[in-house]
Amino acid sequence: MIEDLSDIDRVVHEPGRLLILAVLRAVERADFLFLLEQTGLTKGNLSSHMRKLEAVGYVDVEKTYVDRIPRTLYRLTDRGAAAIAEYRAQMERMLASLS
Amino acid sequence: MPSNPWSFGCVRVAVRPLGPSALGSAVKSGRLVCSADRPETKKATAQKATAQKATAQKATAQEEVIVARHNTVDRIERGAAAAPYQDGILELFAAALFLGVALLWQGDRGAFIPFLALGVVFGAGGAVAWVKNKITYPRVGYAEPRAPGESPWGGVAFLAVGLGVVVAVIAGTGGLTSADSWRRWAPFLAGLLSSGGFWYAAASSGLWRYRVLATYSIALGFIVSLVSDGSSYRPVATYAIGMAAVLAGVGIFTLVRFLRRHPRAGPMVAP
Repeated sequence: MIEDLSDIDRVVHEPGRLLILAVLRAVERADFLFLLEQTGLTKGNLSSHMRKLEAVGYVDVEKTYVDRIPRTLYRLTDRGAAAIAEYRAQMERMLASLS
Repeated sequence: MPSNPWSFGCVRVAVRPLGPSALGSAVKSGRLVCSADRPETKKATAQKATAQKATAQKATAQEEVIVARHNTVDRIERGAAAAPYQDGILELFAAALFLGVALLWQGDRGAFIPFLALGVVFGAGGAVAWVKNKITYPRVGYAEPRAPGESPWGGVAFLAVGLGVVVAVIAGTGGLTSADSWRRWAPFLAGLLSSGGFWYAAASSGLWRYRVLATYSIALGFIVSLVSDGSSYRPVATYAIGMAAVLAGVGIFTLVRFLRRHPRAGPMVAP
């Protein structure tokens, strides 16, 4: 089980990013303000985590305008969904091995 | 002391007041000490790095606290799935729809109901989006609810079972050929069909209030049918008024609570 620990996806394992991925898993897509409200992170923290998640391909970003007001929409990619599912499975295996 | 003072950042600050040659002599004479060579500066750099590390640790600790407060990933997901339904606007639109049905039915203008249905199909989505753009999204942000992961056959099965129950009740009470029996049980059929929308919202959001509304819709339809004599379709209007009243109450309560909890926030764009 120690192999599981070393193989763990550190992008997902970070608490803030895990929170963001969990929120995005529950909705089709969401904007920055929604993620801010749901996660309770600061703007700077959330922005930095979103950049990391986008860089590894776990999140898709779409910039649109609604009534000439910019709206940044985030969507969990298939890769992101697979990563969070794998992370959950790894954690469950590890916790099962401890009990 | 390095031979080339230009290689340090301190030179940029010093070059204008001193000039290159004056700067060179100032450095040689010890009147100007480059900050990169000061022993206390190295200490300051180390302190700065420690402070940055502490800030990062603090941020991670805060995030861990946030995650712990949310308790589990499942709870976070449930909260996020329910969030798009927290404003009560869906209930208010449904109340308006039921009220429209009741008014048309009560005024013997039942023939207009298909037009009302068409208006709902083609216009309600845009109207709900417009209201949410004005009230909900500026406060809590925009999120598209995820459709329930169940197969569409679940809805078809629900419809088939509902119709089966109504047909069985009609057959058991007055016979399938009796027009009075069909009129009598029309509110029950309306209640069953309407509950489908609430079951869908419940499956999508995980909110218990939609399960209660779905159950209420079926129960109200059944009770109205039970007390009806089957002489007219008017009890359908009674059922619709009963639904509109409860939905309006739930919608207003939810909207007021939402507006109190969420004062208007800033723009919806990432920094």
